[in-house]
Amino acid sequence: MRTPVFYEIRVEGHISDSWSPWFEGLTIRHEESGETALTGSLADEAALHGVLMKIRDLGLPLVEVKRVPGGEKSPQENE
Amino acid sequence: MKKTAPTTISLLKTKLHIPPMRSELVSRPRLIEQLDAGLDCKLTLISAPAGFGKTTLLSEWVTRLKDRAAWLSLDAGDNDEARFWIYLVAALQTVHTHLGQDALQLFQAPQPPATQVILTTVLNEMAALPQDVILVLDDYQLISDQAVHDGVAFLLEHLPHNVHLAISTRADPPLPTYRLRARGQLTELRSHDLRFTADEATTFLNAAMGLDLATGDVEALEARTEGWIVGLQLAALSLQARADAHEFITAFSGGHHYVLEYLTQEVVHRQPEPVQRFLMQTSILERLCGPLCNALTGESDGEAMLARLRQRNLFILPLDDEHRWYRYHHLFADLLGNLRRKEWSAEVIRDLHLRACEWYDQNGLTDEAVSHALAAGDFERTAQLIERNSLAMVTRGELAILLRWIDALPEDLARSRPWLCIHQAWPLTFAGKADAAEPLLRQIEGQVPLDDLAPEREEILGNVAAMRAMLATMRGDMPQAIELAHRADELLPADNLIPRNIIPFTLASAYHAEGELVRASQLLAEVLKMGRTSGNLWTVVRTLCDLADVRIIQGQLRRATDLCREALRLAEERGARQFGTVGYALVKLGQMFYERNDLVAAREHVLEGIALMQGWQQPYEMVSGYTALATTLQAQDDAEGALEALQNAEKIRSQHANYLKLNSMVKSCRIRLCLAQDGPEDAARQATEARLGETAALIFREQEQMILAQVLVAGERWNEALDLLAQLAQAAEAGGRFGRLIEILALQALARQAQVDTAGALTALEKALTLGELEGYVRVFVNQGAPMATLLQQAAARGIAPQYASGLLAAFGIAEQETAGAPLPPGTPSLVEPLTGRELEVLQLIGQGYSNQEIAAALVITLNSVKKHASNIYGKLGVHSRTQALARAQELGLL
Repeated sequence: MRTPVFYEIRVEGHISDSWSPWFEGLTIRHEESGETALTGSLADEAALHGVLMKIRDLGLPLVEVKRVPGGEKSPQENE
Repeated sequence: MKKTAPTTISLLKTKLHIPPMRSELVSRPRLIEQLDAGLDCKLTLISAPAGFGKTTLLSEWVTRLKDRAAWLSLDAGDNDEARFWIYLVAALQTVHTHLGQDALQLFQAPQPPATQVILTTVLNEMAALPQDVILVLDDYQLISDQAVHDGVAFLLEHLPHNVHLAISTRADPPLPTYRLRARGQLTELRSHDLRFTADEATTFLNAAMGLDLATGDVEALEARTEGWIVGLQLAALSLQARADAHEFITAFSGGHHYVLEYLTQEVVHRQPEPVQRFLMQTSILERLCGPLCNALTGESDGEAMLARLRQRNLFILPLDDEHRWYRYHHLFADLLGNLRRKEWSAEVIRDLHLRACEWYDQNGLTDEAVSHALAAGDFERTAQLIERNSLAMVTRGELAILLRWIDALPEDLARSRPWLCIHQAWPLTFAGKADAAEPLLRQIEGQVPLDDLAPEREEILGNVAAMRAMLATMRGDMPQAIELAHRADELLPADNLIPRNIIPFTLASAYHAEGELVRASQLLAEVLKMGRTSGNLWTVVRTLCDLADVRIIQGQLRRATDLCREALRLAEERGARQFGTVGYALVKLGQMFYERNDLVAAREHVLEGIALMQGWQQPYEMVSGYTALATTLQAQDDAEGALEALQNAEKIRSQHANYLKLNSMVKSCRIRLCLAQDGPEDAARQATEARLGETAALIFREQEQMILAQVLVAGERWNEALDLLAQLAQAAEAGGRFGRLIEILALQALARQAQVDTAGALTALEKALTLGELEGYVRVFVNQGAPMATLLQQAAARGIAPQYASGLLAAFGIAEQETAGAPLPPGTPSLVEPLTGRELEVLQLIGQGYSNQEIAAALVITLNSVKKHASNIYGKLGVHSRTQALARAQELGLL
């Protein structure tokens, strides 16, 4: 199995952190800019696209998707 | 067990139903106008995120176009080619009942032709419609299957002028929209077009939702939500019956999504407790109806509750006019889902899915039952569901979906269930992938349930036997194939349709290969009858071709031609001229033109046939096509073209290891080309290397040995050739394979002639000519080259089938005048009444000094017959003695 990859996804507006399990356990953080950052590790590209599709389906405007090299471990405590 | 609960039918129909207009609807003339104007283009694309009123707008628009609009609401289950197109055709049939009947049948065929081929028939039918059609695909973002996208792109590319496609989606689809945009063939409505304007927001909030907001508050709300309709609707719901509207509006902050989430909670929590619970419980469902809701909630007020939600505009859309089925607005359902996960335990949610699964299963809606079982993570239950429904699905042509479900199960579980293995093994068997199928078959045998389930046991083993039989025919082990097919026949229950239909095909193929042509014909006639009764074009065309194949071997070229023409006619009548099976019929017809030496027509038919079969990709049929092409091109002296065709055949063969028919056909074709292009020595060497003539199945072995005989004749190895040909002739005659006997006799004639046995040569040739004349065989003689021309001239001179012979000579490129007298010295009188072949044989033996007794022994006839023949010869030659006869015969060039 491939090692998980750490991602940071930014969307416009704030969503509550109760969505974390819906987004594969990504951490939800509100930024002062009014954006929300979803960060954490995802199994692979397919998992990333799954999350992006959920973002689309919730009508959240996407600002940025970033792969963070050597990012920290996935915050599993969100499960 | 088949269930036809009314819910089943109405649920499927809801996908084709234009969602009824909602009472709170804000009419949007500015957008309707744009949509109307866009009808001149090929495609309208409504692409915007959730909650912008795409579906509502489309339904308002097409409701006005009424009888011209076909509607299809897509869901995730449509990511299957067959299902997607079946629904799409069904949608078109809501506008024109008879459209696409054949297409529906073909999409459900066990080995359907390429989608593009089927779509072409639908496109042609649409083009012939007297009026315009608007086809709406709603929620296209749910399609992720590339094959479906490819099909839609093909449809778009070839859309007739009277058809317009409208697609609504949350994400731009992977279709060639850029090309349409460049050609001005695309109308687009995007989020900025769809947002409520200030006027629309006012109408919506104050008129439709019955609020009485001040202009400033409307503006604030509109700014807050950026005209996002779902946001405005949520806000309106929270504001209803609220005294502090102004404070409420100014109070909320954050991005508009946060607002949405906040508002959802607001809206839900302001409902009475039973409504709250109902919303949370039922929002796991993609579609809802009263009884289904009751199954989830354990209450009995489902229908009333749904009506109540609708009355309150709680994001629920009726899906039919009877208001039996509904769905939540997708986004609202997602938001409810989040609330549910936040407030309820995973156990409770799992239990809801299991209840939904149970209800759907009881009502015969397997798809939904399976998806809820999977959502509950109950694989055992899923496996049971799949097992119970698998046969019905295979019968309906839903194999792809079935396989996807099996894939969703943990491998250990899937492998431990014989029926799941059976359904995985069938498609592998069809595709000739013996290596992949065999381990599954062994797995199944290891798991057959023991005696308490005797009937099921037989059915399972019957399937295994039927698959093994098919694999055996491919491998070329025909006796085993026949045995296995008979065993399958005994084991399988009468109603097990798929294997039942395959058994006679498999048997016919095996008997054919073994040379048992009568039995093969009988079986094919049986299949043909079944096909005609059920109106299955695919089976009928295919069987007619196989029958034609048998007739060709039997030397009934005319009958074979009639069969192929009938196949073509039937296909044409049904608008199915473009199907892959029809391609095979064209290849067969091409072969018949080849036999008649109409090479131009042969080439045309074979090329068209190959082109039609491209998308269909059946290895045996494709290889038949390419080898027929190679043979025809070689006859046209196009050596390079012939080699290229051979390479194409070779490529397909190399992808199917141990496929006897392919191996034999390609090998035969290669050595025939080698003989023509490189000569007998190279051909003989290649034949030895390729072990030509050693293939197990008789029909293929015989073909190979006939080529070996050609190689021997060409290499002037007369004795070997004659030995082989004698065996072949005897076997072909005994087996009624007269089509092949003609060629064998022609080769025999050449070899005997070379051994200065003119009478023997002419006897063989006469027989060949008799068999060939009625059926119009030409090429088989022309292929033998100049020595055959000489022989034919002699035959014609002796009055053996003179017209046919001179016609054949014309085909050699030799003018007819030359043929009549060429071997005779000028001025020599010819016979008024020609000698028969037998008489020539007798004359020849007289010339060699045989006594009448010896002639009788040599020809295995009675002494009296010899005397009768001799007296006839004397009469025809106008002589009275042996010596006079010999002198006269030499004068006439008969000896």
